[in-house]
Amino acid sequence: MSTDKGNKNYWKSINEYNDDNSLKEAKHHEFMNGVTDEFEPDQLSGISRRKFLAVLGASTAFAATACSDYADKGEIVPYTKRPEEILPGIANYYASTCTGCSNSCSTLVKTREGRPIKVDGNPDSPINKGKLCTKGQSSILSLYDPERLQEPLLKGRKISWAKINGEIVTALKTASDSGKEIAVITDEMTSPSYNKILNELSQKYSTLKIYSYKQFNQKTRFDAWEASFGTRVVPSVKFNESKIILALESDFIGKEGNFVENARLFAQGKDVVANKKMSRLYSVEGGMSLTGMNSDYRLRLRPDNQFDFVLALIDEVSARLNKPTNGIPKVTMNSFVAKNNLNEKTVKYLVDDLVENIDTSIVHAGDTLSVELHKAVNVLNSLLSGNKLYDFNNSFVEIRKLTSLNDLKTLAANSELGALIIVDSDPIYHYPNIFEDAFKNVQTKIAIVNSKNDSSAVCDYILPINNALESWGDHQVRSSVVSLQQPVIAPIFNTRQKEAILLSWINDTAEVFDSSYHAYLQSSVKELFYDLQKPSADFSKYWLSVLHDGIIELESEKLSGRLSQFSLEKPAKTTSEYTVHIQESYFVSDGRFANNGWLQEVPHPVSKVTWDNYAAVSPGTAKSLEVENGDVIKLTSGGRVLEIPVMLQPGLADNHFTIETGYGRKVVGDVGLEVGFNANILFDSTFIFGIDQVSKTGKNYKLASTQEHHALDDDFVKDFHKSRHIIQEGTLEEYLTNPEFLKEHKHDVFSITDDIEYKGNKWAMAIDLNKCIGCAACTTSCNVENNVPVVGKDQVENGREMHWMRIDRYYSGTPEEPIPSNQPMLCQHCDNAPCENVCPVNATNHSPDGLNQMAYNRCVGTRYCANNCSFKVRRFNFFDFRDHFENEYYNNDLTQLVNNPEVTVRSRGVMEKCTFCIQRIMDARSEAIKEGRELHTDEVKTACQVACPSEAIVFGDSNDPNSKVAKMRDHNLGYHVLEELNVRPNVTYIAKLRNTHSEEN
Amino acid sequence: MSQQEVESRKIFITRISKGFAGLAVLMALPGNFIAKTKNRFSGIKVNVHPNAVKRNK
Repeated sequence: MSTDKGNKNYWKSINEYNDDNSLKEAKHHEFMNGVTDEFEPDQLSGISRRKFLAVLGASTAFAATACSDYADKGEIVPYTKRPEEILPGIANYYASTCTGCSNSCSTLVKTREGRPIKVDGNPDSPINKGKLCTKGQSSILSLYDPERLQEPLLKGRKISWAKINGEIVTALKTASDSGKEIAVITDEMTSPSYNKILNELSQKYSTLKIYSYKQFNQKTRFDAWEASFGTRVVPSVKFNESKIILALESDFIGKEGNFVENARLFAQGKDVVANKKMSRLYSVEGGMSLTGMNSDYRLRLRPDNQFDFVLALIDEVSARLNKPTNGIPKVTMNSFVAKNNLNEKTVKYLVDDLVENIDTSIVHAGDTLSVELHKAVNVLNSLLSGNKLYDFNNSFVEIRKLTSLNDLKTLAANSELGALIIVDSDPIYHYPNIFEDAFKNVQTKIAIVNSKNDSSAVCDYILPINNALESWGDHQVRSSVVSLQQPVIAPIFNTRQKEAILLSWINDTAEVFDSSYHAYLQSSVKELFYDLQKPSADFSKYWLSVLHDGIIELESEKLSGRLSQFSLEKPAKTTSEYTVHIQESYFVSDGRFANNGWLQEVPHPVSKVTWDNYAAVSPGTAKSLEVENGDVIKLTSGGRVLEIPVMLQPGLADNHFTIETGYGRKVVGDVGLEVGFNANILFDSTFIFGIDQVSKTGKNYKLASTQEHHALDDDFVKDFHKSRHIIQEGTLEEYLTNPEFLKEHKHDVFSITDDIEYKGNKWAMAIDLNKCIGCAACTTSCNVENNVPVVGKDQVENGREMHWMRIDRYYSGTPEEPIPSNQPMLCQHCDNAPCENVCPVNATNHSPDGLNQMAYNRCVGTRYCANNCSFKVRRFNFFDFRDHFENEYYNNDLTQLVNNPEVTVRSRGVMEKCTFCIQRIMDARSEAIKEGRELHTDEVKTACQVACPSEAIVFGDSNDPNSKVAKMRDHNLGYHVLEELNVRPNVTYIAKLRNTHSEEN
Repeated sequence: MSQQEVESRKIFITRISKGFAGLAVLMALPGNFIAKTKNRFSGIKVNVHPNAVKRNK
């Protein structure tokens, strides 16, 4: 463990905290076990010198012949008839919408030569404001997935659209005429036009019923809001104006609600560089979430006790404010704290803060908690800030109410179903206990999906649909904004838009034309929005204008919430010793991205595990169960059994497991096949439930985690200080009392060589650790922008993941009450770079504008630079990963289209690292030269900077005194990692300040 | 030069010549054949959608 001032010990894993011998041993070796090959000269077979030379000569001759045109990538052929919109070498941008989740963020898609290569947020959107999450960034790989469905299939055989449509319409008519139900199971509805089509379809076929579901949704929030306020229009929360935020099992900046928007708003409350005020976040949860990692105070509480906690808070707050509440069961805080072993001081701080900041306090409950708990939270919020922190102009709207789980169970039990239509969903994977074998006897089963899944596997008719980037659409999830979706590429395969397919059934047309939906969408937008807004321009101009902008802003109804009288019922509590919390995966979501290599390989933001899920358990519970990392346990609940490996997670509540779903899919492409464990098997009707039995299986499963690679903070190197000051933190109070507190331990560092003067631009970056939440959107954006390859689980185990940008996560405190710290780490572009001096072929050097450059074709792969890099940010191509990963899965003509043509695709034996997006710098520079001007201040934005939802990353010219990066470089809280080495890094970190009470500091 | 030396020189020259002849035969093979069998033009056509509306960044 490293030590920092104030005797704060930093550790990255339980093993390190416990001074595990194997880890100590591993730190002394540069390479992971099994990586270096043993060379035994005695075991060489005997061969004469003559024979050796003869074989050598012959093989050289063969090699010379075979290598005559190595890796022929085809020819570049210019257009004979250039499409009007395309200028070779110049990117086009289109506004569209991401359909990765039901937030439907507006996007800006960059295309080159007619194909999309990058998806970012739409800067014109008032909701996500140019930001996009990890899933949205990586979704582009799904367009180029070689295992996408390409043709309609009938019982596995290719068939034309006209023929399959004809058969389906006949079958639907038969089912409807015989009075049998036609069930349509579809994803959560975000599109008003799609909803209209479904309504028209149900009018055409009178027995048609629509079941719209999403495994992880905000239904309990909506139901509770309706019970409390009489409406299902739920306002969003102004996290930027909240001084005290209490998150109850709520991961509002990680994966719940519009977490991209929430992260931006939350970070505005933590912007200590701009204004010396910060919000204070309390997190009360059973698992360790991203929100919990960014909290100022955290309480471990099993989720089945959350309801009583809210009642205790209501009791305490109402007494302090002298506002009695009727119909609320009473729970006293003192007894609750004692019973659940909570930290008394933290609870006191919480209550005091809520009461003293009554107008700026908000309590936010997680989506997986019960309706009753949400109703109780509404009562609590009405006692505190009331409506002040709700944004009614920006409310969430429901296009169609989600189907309840009970209705889905009724559907599964219906043995007289005439036809089943599964549209863009996978109910059999999500609810195996409900739908497994449910549809065996249904005569007509139709799947309208993008790629094969568990549900399409039982269907005879499979109709492939366009990817989101090939589709038209409109999406309204907020009262004031509609986001439009347009195809940025014509459909690559013989697929159709799902709406167009349904329209052909309504209109009885055999052939399916996407243009029919384009026309329908135009008329729908005219009816729903144009006629409402009545702009002065005619509709054709309006249509072009809204497609250009990507959004339609509406005047929303001025609503407010007034709490109606209701009573609360205590939900039944589990009597089991152990509980489990089934959660959505941060990156793979509910399984829809299981075949996306980028998302599988991004390390989990908390545990840093890749390519797998696990049962997270507290170190204390692991000790009592006598399990360690990787030990496979068997969890049994209500007759349902799951075997899953365990992962020790500091900060988890005792006797509690958290498991993410989205893994263990059986019907998926080669990337996602046999990856992880299907936690949906355990799910019954709630996400939080008791476990009847936990037992060890005696098996072990290796989890590939990146958290024990790249150990920087070891004191093995005796010439340096023990405490490396890699993470420098303080408290807000400390900073306000003494703004230069960080400089107290600094000392002068001198160089024996002359400093180089950088005239002109000098590129630098600053990262505000107060705003960085550790979401890894930067990592993914960098992967997409810079053609970073997917390496696979086995290579990640060897420490060979290729991410140019990584998020290092450190813990201080104890395994029971850890205090996490995140730090994005990338090439620091050091002015005295230790890597540049040691390259034997001068492949890495320093540019006149301060960049550490890499010439891939000079590199011979000695790896001396990576050896010398103090920050371990250099990534070596041990293989040509495009050939090596999953038997050349991504080495095909389709997936190669995802590559950014402005960035070299690196081959085997070459070192690579962050380039500060030199292609973007050159692009901006050439635009400036063309226009005869200098670069504007802050004109160049790196991919990571554009993606960061909390705007923690700032890039620019440090020689320009007006630039943001220059100001942050000189800020009192600014520091460089391993400053004492005098490598002069050009990445400045703004020290994290925790907003804790003065008594604690 | 002795008879033995002449003979060994003849053998040496013969062997080197055979080696070069073999190399020449191999290099006369279509050089791209081995590489090109792996990469074939697949005919993936990329088209811009005619009704899409582009914009500035």
